[in-house]
Amino acid sequence: MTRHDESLVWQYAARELDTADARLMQHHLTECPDCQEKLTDVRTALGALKAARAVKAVVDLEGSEATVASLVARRRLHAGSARPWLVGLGGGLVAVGVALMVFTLARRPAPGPVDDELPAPTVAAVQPRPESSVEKGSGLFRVGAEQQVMAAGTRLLSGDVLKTGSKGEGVVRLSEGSRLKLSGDTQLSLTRAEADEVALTLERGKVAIGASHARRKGFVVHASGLMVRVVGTVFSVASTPEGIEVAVAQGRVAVEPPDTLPVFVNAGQRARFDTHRWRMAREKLSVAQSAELLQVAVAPVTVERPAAGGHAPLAVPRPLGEERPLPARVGSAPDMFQPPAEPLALEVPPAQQPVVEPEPAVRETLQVPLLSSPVESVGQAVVAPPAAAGEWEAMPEAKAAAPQASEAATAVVRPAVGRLSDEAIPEDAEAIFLQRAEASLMRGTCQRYLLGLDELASDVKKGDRAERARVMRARCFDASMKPREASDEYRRYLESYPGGRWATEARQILSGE
Amino acid sequence: MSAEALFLRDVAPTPLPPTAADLKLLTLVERVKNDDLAAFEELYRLTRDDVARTLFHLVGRSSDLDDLVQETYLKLLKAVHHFKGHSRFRTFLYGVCSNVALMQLRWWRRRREDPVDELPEQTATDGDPEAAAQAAEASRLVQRALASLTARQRVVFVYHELCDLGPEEIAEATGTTYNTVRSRLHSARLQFTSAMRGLVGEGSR
Repeated sequence: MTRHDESLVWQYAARELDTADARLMQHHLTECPDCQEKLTDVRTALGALKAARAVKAVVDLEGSEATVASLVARRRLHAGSARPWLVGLGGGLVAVGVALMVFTLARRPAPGPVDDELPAPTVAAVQPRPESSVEKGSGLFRVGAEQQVMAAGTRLLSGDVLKTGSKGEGVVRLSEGSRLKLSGDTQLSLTRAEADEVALTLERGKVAIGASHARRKGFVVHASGLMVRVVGTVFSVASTPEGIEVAVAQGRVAVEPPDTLPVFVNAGQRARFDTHRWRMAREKLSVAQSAELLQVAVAPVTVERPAAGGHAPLAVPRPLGEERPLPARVGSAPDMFQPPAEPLALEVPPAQQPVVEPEPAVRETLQVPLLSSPVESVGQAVVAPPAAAGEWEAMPEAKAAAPQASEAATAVVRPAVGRLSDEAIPEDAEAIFLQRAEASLMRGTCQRYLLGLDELASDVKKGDRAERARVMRARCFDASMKPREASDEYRRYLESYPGGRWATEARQILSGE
Repeated sequence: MSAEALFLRDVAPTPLPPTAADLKLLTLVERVKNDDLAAFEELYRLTRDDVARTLFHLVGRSSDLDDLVQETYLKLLKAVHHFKGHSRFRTFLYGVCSNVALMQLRWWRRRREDPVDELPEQTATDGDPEAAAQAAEASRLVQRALASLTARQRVVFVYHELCDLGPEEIAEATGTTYNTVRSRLHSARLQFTSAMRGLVGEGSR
């Protein structure tokens, strides 16, 4: 060995050297204290690396699951429309097949007496397959040539169109375990209600859905061109003349407006889509609304998937109130259908707070997510009033948020490094919103604040806050790899605030430095 | 014996024979190429854990992992038609992962963000709480030491030391030469050891 080479020490420690080189190294180590020291360091590093391999990071891959499902669905849709000749050819072949079958049956002689020694049917053949049916119905009809009243237990098939009267209501259990609750004056088409796939079309009204965690090809709800993709969750879709509203009580849904990328609506959120311009506004779901939705949560039922496809048996849906499992962990098989454990988020500035005011009894509990945010704040600890205790118990998310809320309430304010804001303690909801947006900017999750920031930035009366909001939007676009939008925002910033606090930053970005 | 001599000696490695799992993945990829989307879902199911674990080691930040996994599969679906089957599919997938991770790491560097300021919640496989705590601490140290490497060094180092990829596979995945990989691995090891020395010294002070 002619020189001290740490890499060789590493190779020696990792047993990557062959016998001859290892001997040479061993001999060198006996007479070189420097290399002995290096060997100790390398062994420490290798030990840490070995330990790091054993450690698993907690990762929730629900978003990836939804994205892959969405990708597959879009490609499928595209493939279907891209090859009309293939569809035509397939249809022709099916028609020929059916004609041949009819011809063969017509020529077959009449069946003889039944043979007593016929083999007994297999267990699989006699096992009752779960069917979609009406669980409860008042004022619930099946639309068709003749409107038919649907009573509890009535079997439902794909293609059925259900309708409720203005004071009617209906609860339906689908064959794959999900439950639907139709509100009054609602029309819902069960486009596909099979054990392995569900597609619903909401013509009007409101449907609350407790989707089971069964494995299936897909669970989608269409409403006025909007597509809501479901994994396993509790949510509702309402179609009104003003637009579509998607509210999520548990889990997460992917909502796909036509010709745009999907957006996710998380637990505790309500998204309103203006169907004319496809603009979205997010709002917070009240505790009362969440509790109402959670009533639709599926009851435990074991559903077996058809043998075709060789998939595993369907998952047992989680009943309401049952403790949810831990998030998926890398290295073990993750549960992809697990709702995120994040607290409810304030999405819009106070000017855009929900129009529907919550009940007074639960109003205090709505402050919980505000205080449980990562933004440091000082406030009063929030205690759920007795009247809301039932609803509180019914919401695992709310229970999980409670300790954070009390911690946040007593936390000392610590200004973060590099923040835009000078306000240590937010005086009002707008300041809290800005601080939250800023914190999300640092975490790289600022997209949800863009709408609210735009509102603030457009209001020149807000002065310093409008300026901050504008620059935050620019930074958010920049962080989201949208350079064009970021440049536009910086340009707008410079137009409004040529001598502003962040004018240098804007000029640097625009000049490409 | 110099490091360069070692590189020259190892310049023609023997490719590993494909395993049953590799063959299954290759079959699925062929089906995906023929627009069989059920195969893509199956491919996702089989590889998502590996992808998430690799990305975690490459970027060391769990809050963005879900997004990065999504990005990886979006890119994979676009790129899978370019996969000719000359290498293992796993190598190809690692290539996509490294591109996604490199973009993210460069982005953070440009924003002067510290990827380890938000270290993920971790858990050890061992049931012993003391061992679990030690393993979690070791993992944190590793992530901090990894942050001292350049993005390219990190990719090579992680693939070699944590994902058990050979230099030839890393070269294939990252689109570089075998000797470049060895060179990067060499400098990454020096840097990593030095960073670990500093971190351990800091901790014991």
